[in-house]
Amino acid sequence: MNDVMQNPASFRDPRGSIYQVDQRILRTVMPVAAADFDFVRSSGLIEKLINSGKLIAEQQVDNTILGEVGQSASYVLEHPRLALISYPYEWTFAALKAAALLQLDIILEALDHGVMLTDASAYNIQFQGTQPIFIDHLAFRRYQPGEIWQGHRQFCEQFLNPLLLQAYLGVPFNHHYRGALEGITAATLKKLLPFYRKIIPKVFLHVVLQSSLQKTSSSDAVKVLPKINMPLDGLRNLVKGLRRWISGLHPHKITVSTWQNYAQEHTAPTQKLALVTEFIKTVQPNIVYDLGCNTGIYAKTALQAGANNVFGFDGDHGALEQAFNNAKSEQLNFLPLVMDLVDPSPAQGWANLERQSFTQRAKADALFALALVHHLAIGKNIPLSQLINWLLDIAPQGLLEFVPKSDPMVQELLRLREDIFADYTEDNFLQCIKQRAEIVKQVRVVGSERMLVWYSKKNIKM
Amino acid sequence: MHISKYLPYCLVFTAIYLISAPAYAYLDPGTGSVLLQGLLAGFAGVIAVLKLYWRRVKQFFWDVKNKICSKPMTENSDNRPSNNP
Repeated sequence: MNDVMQNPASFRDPRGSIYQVDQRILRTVMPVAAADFDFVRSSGLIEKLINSGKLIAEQQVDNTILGEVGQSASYVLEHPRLALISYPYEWTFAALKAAALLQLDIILEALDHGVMLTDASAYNIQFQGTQPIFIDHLAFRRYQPGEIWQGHRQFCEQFLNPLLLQAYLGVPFNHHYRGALEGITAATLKKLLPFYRKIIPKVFLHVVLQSSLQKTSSSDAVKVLPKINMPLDGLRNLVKGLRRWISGLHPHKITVSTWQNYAQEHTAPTQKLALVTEFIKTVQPNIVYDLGCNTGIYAKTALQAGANNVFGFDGDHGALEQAFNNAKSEQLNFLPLVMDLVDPSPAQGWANLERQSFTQRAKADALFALALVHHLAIGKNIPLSQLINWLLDIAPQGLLEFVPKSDPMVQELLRLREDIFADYTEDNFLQCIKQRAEIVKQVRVVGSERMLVWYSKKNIKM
Repeated sequence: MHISKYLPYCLVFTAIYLISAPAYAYLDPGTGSVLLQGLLAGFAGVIAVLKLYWRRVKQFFWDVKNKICSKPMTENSDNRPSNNP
């Protein structure tokens, strides 16, 4: 039998866990959850959600696939493998908003089927292109008449409050979220919001009042809890109210960021687009990473040339917001994510295993790093050899661009500082690549001294 | 200040008026959220009751209206036998 590996993020719910066998993703449904599981299935909700693309597909498989683990489970399900697991602290505002709306829509649909959700974790949502998809089949259970929304606090912390931080204060939520994996508490947001925001009834209710009441001792809440009888309509209205509110949220004062207009002001050289197309058609990659994706021009070109999934990474919130909205309106299988490439997402959470680092998760068939290397090497002092090694570890094949010191963009980076980058030369750049990969193609960008390099590690034995 | 401090609690405790509903999962809903929803449940309960009564009020007027509208017919039908002894 093959190795059965429990997913290190799947430990909170005793009702079942996620396992990996080879490349297959399997879920146990333990006896404690079997009755709820049967009820939810018989309600027709799961089928409906899967058919509408809101819930990840599942197929029941033989328990023996999980060996001993399978023996103790009531059911074993198999789910399709996602191209990349991303975390809410890597999402754009538009992505977190789409995920929040999906979470609320699923609750409303579940209630129509006499079903409720056990929690409201943002980590239960993943993306296929710009489409959010719910992945936790064990989050569903039978609705108990009169119950409150158990996941309300979690929803506020993991969806609402981060969105409000960015919508009302103009502070992107990503760094704060990454620093507090469970989300932004009402108490934190209450301290940050100005008075005129706090008196908005919705803000007062979900942030100010919730935060004030949170200070009550939990023994008082325990006394109250059994006496609360939330009418179903009240529960629905609570969810619908949040849905309406979140639908109308937008990033604060849509100011143009540094790189947002870059793509509009600088048309992508046709030569570069042609090389991207040729590269994709030749390599035929399933998963492509576009590092420094900006608004996603090359991602779109890659998809048009036949790539299946493209993930973009960039640090510029404005450009990423635009990338997400473009991809959504054009229905591209492209997900732009917030990532400072010199400080990529770390391994964190329980035992430092719960949320994987970017490097652990990064499994691309191909990558682009176009007009990126100079920003990291000169803008952030990353030694060229280390940078090339890091890039080459991410994907076996790719396109890299070298922008020399004579280029106006690099001149701009060096304007206010001493040039301490003796290693930053085209020769050294090519040499660093050649140490680990072969250069399939090398193209000089017409009208500049920039160099495009197509590398491949396929025939190199390490 | 003191009023605003105790107001939520007063509201919570006055809002809680009906029978229980257990079934709680592994997630801690948080005291703030529980009490807040106690309030909302209270309001929702009040609204549900008002709706119920509103329906009764509407039904009452509907019945009255029906009675008035149908009166001439019933009068005729009632009167007919009495007018024709």
